Amino acid sequence: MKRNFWNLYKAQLSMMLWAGKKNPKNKKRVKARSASGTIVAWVIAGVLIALYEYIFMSMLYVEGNTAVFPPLVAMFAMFLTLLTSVSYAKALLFEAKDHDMLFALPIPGRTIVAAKLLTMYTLDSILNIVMLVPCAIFYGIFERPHISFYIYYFILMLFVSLIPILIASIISALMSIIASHFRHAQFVTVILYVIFLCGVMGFSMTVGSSAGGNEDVLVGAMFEGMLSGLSSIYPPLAWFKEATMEGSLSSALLFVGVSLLAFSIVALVFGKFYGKIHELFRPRAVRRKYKSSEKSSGIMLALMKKDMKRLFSSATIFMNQLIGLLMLVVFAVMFSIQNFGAEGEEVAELFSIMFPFIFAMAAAMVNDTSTSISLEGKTFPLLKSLPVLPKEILRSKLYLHMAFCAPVILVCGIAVSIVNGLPIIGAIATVVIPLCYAYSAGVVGLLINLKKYKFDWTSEVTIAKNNLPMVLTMLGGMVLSIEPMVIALGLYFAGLPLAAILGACTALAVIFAVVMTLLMNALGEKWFLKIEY
Amino acid sequence: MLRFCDFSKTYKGGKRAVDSLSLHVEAGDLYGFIGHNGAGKTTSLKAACGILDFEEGNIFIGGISVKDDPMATKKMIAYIPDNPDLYEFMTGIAYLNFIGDVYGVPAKERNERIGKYADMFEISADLGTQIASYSHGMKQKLAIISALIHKPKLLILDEPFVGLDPKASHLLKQVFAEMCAEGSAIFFSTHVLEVAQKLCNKIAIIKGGKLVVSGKTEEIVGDGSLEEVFLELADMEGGEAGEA
Repeated sequence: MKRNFWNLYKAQLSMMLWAGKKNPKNKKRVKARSASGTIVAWVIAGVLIALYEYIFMSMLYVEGNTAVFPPLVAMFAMFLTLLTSVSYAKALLFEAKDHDMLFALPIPGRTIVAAKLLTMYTLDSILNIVMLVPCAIFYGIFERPHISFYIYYFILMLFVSLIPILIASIISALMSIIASHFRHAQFVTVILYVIFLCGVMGFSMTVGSSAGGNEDVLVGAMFEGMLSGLSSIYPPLAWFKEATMEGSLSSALLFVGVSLLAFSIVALVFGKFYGKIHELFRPRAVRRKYKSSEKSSGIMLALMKKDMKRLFSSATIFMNQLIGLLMLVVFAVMFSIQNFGAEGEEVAELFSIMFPFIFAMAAAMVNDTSTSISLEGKTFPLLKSLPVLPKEILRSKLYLHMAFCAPVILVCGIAVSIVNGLPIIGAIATVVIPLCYAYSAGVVGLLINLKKYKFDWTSEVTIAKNNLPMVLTMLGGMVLSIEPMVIALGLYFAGLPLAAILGACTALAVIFAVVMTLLMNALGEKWFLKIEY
Repeated sequence: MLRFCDFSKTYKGGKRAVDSLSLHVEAGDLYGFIGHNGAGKTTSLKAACGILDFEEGNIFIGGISVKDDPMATKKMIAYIPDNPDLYEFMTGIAYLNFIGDVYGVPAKERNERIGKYADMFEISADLGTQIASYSHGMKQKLAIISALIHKPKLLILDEPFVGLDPKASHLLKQVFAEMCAEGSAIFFSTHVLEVAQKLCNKIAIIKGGKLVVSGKTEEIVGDGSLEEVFLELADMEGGEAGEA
């Protein structure tokens, strides 16, 4: 029983973390190389998260409000766990491709479910550790807290993901049940996931904005208001804060007890009834007479349609790849509602520098190309056997990427420029720079994926989540948007004219996009042809 | 139609999968390619389809080198792999339309052929559903229909009968016969020796990457059975190429 559990756990975890690299002879070197990709991705993510946490902590220190920092990072960790666990729950529990195979084995259902839940917990805990450990270190450096802070913090850190996993499992199960009633179940799941994500984002924005009503609000005070707003709805957050910051033993016990209870409920309920309720998740395949197509498409359109269908076939792929666009829309709505234009020309000029890079960061997070080769999976030979030039295949992936990005960037860029009364050069930069970033990120992602591809996966979550090309592209985009924004703001405050700064930034972004195009032309086809599968 | 000229393929890591294979499939041929697991059959088929790159030798389709003009050769062929890994996120009809678009088959012709073959293989009722819900046999049928949509001059198949029900196997054999009668060529690998013996006018046996024998079926088999010939040749040390 125990051996089965650990074997299953090991198999599930390696499937989610580093499976996918063809390794017919089970060579240790290939395994290590595959694992190192994921580890490198996590390390890079960790370093960047730590860097941004340090900047944030420094800001709070200047404001004299560092006490808000640890619970705030814990809150973000809980949010992220909730968001990621919905797709983990789908991939591992409700729409797992290994369901039939595992349930045919002489292993009790509860053992299978327990192994899968522990896998989910492990995956979420990696994310939590990457986020929460640097936070404790920085808080320790700046504030030198009592030893009890560290004891409570590091113990409670291990339980942070448990309740979000329970909530995510319920939400994911509901989504699967609802979607299974529709003919296009996967598409419905995508829509439900978008609604869920918008709901979470909208909710957190509402709580945050209601807390920061006055004009001269400080960052720390704003987040403190957000924390207290969320704590009243989600008490475990308040318990975490009381335990770590005030050393309250009762709050610590409450946090651990309720978290364990929540996780046990999921394990017990799903373990006992999983076999029966899994039937509820099975899509009802309806046999229908097909409709013939009256028109034929060109090769490029056919390839784009194929990739678009893949994108809409899975909520996990859709959300992980297009999350940047959703963020872009959220930013645009936020900047439009706030209407900074009313606050004068200087503010409009400041935002002329900030908006292009904030939008560029979101646009660079659209990472569909960085997984598009790996997602071909076992169908890659089929693609290679078709009479289509590799450069056309690569171009179709970039065109689809831009077909998603360009309209959103154009609409959002023009909207915030008009609403906030940006000068012409600001409006141009707000549209052109994000477009260049979106395009460049598309090319970079595709090139990295041509070198670092994985075809032997069983769940697309492996590719859509724990994937080095995706992490590199997204984080590269983040670094290349935040750092230039800081430099541009510095130059603006140093007295350089706005037109010169934005003109130079726009020109650099265009040059970067041109260089990327040349790189793609020089390397893309060559690397594509080298892939053997 | 298909000519392997001293074709060799060595994988990364040094494994020589195929060694100096020379073979000629003529228009109208129904050519069976037989060998043990790992003999080099799939590697040869994949290289002919332009899926695998190769350095030594050459492969010609309709007189055009696969190396020099892969697009021209791919337009003439259709390939069905041993495992029908299709785009599972698509419906059957969407997949067939995709293949039709890529090969530039006009909508009218495409719909006629889809209707004809889907009815023949009794899959019409399932074309509107997602491929992910198909059984192995249904996927195999869909792969076969997709290969026939653009009327290829050369059909390359890897174990085409695996997973097919007896009726579908019978129909596929009929389709093969019709295609060959119209001047197309068919080159397929199989483990089912009875089928190869009854169906193919030519046969090649490969062992350890080397061609052991190739030629007309009746000349290779003689009065015995293909199974006897195959086992006899398979037991021989190494591969010794020869035309029967």
